[in-house]
Amino acid sequence: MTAVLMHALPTDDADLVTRTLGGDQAAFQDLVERYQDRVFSLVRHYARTAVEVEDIVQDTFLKAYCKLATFHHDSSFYTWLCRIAINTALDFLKRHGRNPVQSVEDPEAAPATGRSTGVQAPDARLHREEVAEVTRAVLDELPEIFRTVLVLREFEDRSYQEMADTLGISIGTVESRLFRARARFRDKLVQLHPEFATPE
Amino acid sequence: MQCQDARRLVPAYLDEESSEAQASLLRGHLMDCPACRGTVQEMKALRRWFEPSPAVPVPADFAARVARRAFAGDTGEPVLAPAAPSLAAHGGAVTLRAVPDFFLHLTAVAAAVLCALTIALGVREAPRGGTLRADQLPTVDALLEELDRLNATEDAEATTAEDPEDADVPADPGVAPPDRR
Repeated sequence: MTAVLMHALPTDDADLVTRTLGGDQAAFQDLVERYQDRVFSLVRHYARTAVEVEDIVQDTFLKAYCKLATFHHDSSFYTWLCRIAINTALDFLKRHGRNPVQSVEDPEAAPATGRSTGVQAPDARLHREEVAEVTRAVLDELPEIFRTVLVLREFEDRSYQEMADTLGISIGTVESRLFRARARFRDKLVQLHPEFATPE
Repeated sequence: MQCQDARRLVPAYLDEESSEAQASLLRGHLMDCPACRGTVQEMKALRRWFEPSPAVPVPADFAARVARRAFAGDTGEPVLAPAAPSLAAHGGAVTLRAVPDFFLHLTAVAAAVLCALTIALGVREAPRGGTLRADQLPTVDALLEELDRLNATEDAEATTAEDPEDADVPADPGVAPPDRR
C-alpha cells in the first residue's frame, strides 16, 4: 500500500534519474513516459514515417539511458534529452542517405538574405495537412541548423534560452540564426511555391 | 526610433522574448510607421505556416518496451548501418537490426552445404580402382589407323556400288551434297 502511494506521488526528474542510475527500471520507464510525447512531436519533423519516428525516439531514450551518468543537471532533463533526440535524428538521416543539408556559409557571419518577395499566410482553402506538407518540403530544403531552430521555436515553442541550452549556443546566436532561418524559409517557400508570394 | 532599429526588434517582439522596455518602444514606433507595421504583418503571416499538426500517437507499451531494452543492454547505437525499423515496434521480439546477423549465419550454412555437396559429387563421379586403367586406353595412333581404315572402305564402296535410282535424280542446286569426308 505504501509503495503504491509513493509511486503515485509526483516525482521530479532528478529523483527518477538517480533511481534509474541505481538500477530501477520502473523509474526509467517513468522518465520515458513523462517525455515520450514531446520527443515524438520533435522527431516527426525529421522523419518521414511513423515507424521512422518511433525508431528514432526509441534510440533517443536508449542513448539517454546509456549516457545518463553524464547528465549533470546543468540544464533541464528535457533540454538534455532534446539534444540527444536531434543528434539521433540527424544521424538517422545520414545513415539512410537523406543527408541533412549542410550550411555552406557561416550562418552567423553571412549577411542576411536580401530583402526579397514577401510571403502570404497559407490560403484558407488549404487544409492543415496541405500546409504541413508544404512547410515540411520547405524545411527539408533548408540547412540543418536553420531547420532545427525553426522546429524548436515554431513547433516546439522553446524559449530563446532553452534553444541556447539545447544547441549549446548563445541567446544572441539563437536570435540571429532564427532571423536568418525565417528569411531562408520565406525565400525557399516563394521559390518552391511562387503562388504564395505577396502580390507586388 | 528608426525603422532599422525597430525591424531588428520585431522577431523577438513577436516571439515574446523582448523586454518590456523594448516592446514599449517598438509599439510606439509601430503606431506611427505603416511600413514597419507591414513588416510585422508579414512576419505574422510567415508564422502561420508553422501551425501545429496533430499529435503523433505513441504506442501504449512504448515506455515499458524501451525500459526493458535499455536494461537488457540495447544502446540504441546502430549495429550495422543502415539501421532498419524495428519489428519490435510492432509487437515482435526480433529487430531488423538482427537481420544482418541472421543473413550472415544463413550464408555460412549455405556455403558449408555447398562445399559438402561438391565433395560428395566429386567422390561419386571419380574413377574407381579396377574399373578404369590408364594402360587400357586406346592410343591416338590406333584410333587414327581405325579411322583411315573406315574411310578407305567407304570410298571403295562409293566407287563400285551405284544405286540405279539415284542416277536420274538431279542434284538439288541449292543444297550442297553431304561431305563424305
